[in-house]
Amino acid sequence: MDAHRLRVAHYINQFFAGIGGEERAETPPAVKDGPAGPGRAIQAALGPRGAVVSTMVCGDSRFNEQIDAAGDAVRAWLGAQRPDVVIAGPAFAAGRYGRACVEVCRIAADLGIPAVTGMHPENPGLLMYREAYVVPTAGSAAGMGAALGAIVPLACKLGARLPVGAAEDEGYLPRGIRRPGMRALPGARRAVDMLVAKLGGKPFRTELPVEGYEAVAPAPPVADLPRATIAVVTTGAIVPKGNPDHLKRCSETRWQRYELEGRTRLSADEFECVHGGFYNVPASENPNVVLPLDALRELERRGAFARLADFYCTTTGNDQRFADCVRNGKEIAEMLWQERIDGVLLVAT
Amino acid sequence: MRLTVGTFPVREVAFGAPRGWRDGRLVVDADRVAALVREDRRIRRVAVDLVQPGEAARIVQVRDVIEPRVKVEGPGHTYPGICGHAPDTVGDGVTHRYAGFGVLIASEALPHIRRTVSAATDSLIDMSGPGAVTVYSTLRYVALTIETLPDLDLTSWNDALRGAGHRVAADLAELVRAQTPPERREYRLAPPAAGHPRVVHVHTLNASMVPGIGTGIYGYTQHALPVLLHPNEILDGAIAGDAVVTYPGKCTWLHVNNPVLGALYERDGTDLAWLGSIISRTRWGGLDEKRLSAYQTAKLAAMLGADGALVTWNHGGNDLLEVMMTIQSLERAGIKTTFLTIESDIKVVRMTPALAETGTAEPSLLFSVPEADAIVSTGTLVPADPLPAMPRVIGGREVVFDQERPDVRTAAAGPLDLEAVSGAYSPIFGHFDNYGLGRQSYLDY
Amino acid sequence: MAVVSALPPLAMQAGANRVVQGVKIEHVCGDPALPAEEDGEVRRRLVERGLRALATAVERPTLFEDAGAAAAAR
Repeated sequence: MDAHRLRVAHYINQFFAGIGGEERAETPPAVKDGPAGPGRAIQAALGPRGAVVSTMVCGDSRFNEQIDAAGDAVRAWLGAQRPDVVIAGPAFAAGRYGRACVEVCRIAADLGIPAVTGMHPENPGLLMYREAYVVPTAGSAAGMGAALGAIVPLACKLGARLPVGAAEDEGYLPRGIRRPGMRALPGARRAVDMLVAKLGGKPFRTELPVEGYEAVAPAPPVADLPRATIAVVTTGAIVPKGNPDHLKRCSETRWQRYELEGRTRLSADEFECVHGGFYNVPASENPNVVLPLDALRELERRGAFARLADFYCTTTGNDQRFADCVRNGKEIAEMLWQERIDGVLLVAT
Repeated sequence: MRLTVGTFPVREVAFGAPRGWRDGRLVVDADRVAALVREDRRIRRVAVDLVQPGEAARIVQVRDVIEPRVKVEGPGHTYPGICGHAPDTVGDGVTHRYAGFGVLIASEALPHIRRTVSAATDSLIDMSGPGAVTVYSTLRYVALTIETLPDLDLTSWNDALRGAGHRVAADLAELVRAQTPPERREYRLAPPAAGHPRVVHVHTLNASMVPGIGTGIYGYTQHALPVLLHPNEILDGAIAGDAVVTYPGKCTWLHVNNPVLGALYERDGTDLAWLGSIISRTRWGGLDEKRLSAYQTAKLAAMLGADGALVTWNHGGNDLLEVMMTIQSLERAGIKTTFLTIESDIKVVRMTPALAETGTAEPSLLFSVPEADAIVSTGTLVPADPLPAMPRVIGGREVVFDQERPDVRTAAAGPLDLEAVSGAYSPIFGHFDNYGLGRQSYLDY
Repeated sequence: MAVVSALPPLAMQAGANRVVQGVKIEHVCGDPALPAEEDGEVRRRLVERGLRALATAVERPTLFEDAGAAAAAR
């Protein structure tokens, strides 16, 4: 019995469609049956496994400048075609084309249709949507053959809903999802091998691509500090003595709010530090070194700001789940917003 | 330095007489072991048990595992500088050891110490089943379940437990002093050959922020500037843990069995020239102290003429800052690095495979530098299923999973859904494979 | 929000945009080794710097140095 022949939808830009170069970058989205441009090579590579049933062409500028309309067109196209898999590009080093390809992949994913694209690893399009399957390519179309050599097999797997292996095995860029897996040799041996390769100028692949945190847009400054209400928060696990709410020393998932009741400083008789990640005796002996209440009250008295919120929030910043940190942050921010706090001092230990 | 290590593999341990090792079978005199432990009047009671891999057994309240090693020829005492052992430099001569065997110290933290010693949970080792994920599930043990006097302070408690463990380990090692080991291996660094890249092992080592305890170098536990060790010193036990904090990367057994030492020795003289091991302490409390340690480590490596550095660490949170700064300083000094690391570092320990998948929103490491471009990940050791009930439990009857709730005690023999009871920190002793004993890793998808 | 941290590189890498260098992890806002009054002064200066950071526009993670001490040192 024949396997189901995959229906492949292909997205390309005006250049690869043969319409023109930069001067035709405003070309509106248009759909044609069958393959066009590199789609023909894709079709040939697919062989009996499938066919490029439809091609969408759009100018790079047009797509990026009218992204909503372009997105609608893509959605309509995919809705009408109902392909098994979408191939976008490859875009090589072209930034706008890369962004368009990644957006096509994202829309396809929204519609439950697997998609794959290809572009140079430094194409800025990659920043738009991490979960796309992206095959790394050369910087120019000279790398088309190699690119399609990885894109087509991956598209076939995705289209047939077969399990997709690790990025390093299937030839796509890491998508930020990591799963446990076994390697051929023990870690110590792999570390020496990698060092010898690196020292010898031989290729090696890091097992852990270093990635950053998302940037956080800075809040505007407090406009009028002498009239502002300030609150203080700490991850230093400062709690009422005896830890009545049993804040954990480690791996805490929640946060607590404690009322200050007009206190001008924290005393060791009433408060303690239960953080398990550092030597917490100094902080228990003088909790103000982690929650600087005395200094805050002094500055409030001097008029540096108008009012200190009469409570503080705390959690234990020690081996916490990222998801819990995010949620705690949101909840505390929401609560401070309700309390009309203008500025927050966060003391991290 | 030239060290010949004679290995006596242990395939069976039994109580009986006469005591001794023969053909892989170690016979232990239980009464003698108990008497040795009780020499210290701070110890009230001890139970001596034999535990083997594959048993339906769970060991709890694990404080340390010690591999018996004895100096047969050459200066010094194995595990120098602790328990009254002389601080003479070791690593030369002949040392005999057992393989696949350890003296295990189990003791529940005293209530007034509980908060200080353990940031996380009481620990456990399952000898079979889904929880048997670490190397500690593969060793044979003489397990000492020790009850001390109840009012010992932290350093006395540590001293009593550690001393007991080492007394027993030394006595057992003594059994094979005069015997011919079935396996022998010589360890010496080859003179660096032209054309071989020169490599240092940068063995960053967590130091305790609590004074008086922690892993020590010749017993020196405090934060200090980096020191150069010959790997043979490490093989002779110059790096040893305390019997207090069950920190994942802190186990005396692991230091003498550090697979990085074997992996570097394997290649020394073949395609690299290993210059030695620089031990830098981590977990400094101040940023400038962290910087100082990083700069001095890189300087030391540069003075040695290193071309490359294999950097390892043994976990922590703030420790990762100086580790990364060290990598950065090395690279900036022109010394190429690889970094061998656990995966889940300190964000969270994944309790189940489902949770073990990390997503796109969170970075893989708490802190990183762009220079850390060659990383080997040892992933994370998680049980595939909740831990079953165990008919045999050694080391205690109950486990406390939250040090702020010592009143909440879970039966050690029962089934354990780690996620539910521990709430995000694994109690499995040694759940981080810091030095790459295994093949587990993480893959990008 | 302004973060007081003993480890600004960590806070800034995690996305904190206004950061003040604290003393040490164990006592971020003070120094128990100093006499009480001096410890209090250290704390006050740190909090003041944090407030100054709150009132300052920033575009990216920024470390707020102790302008006063730097000027005094000159």
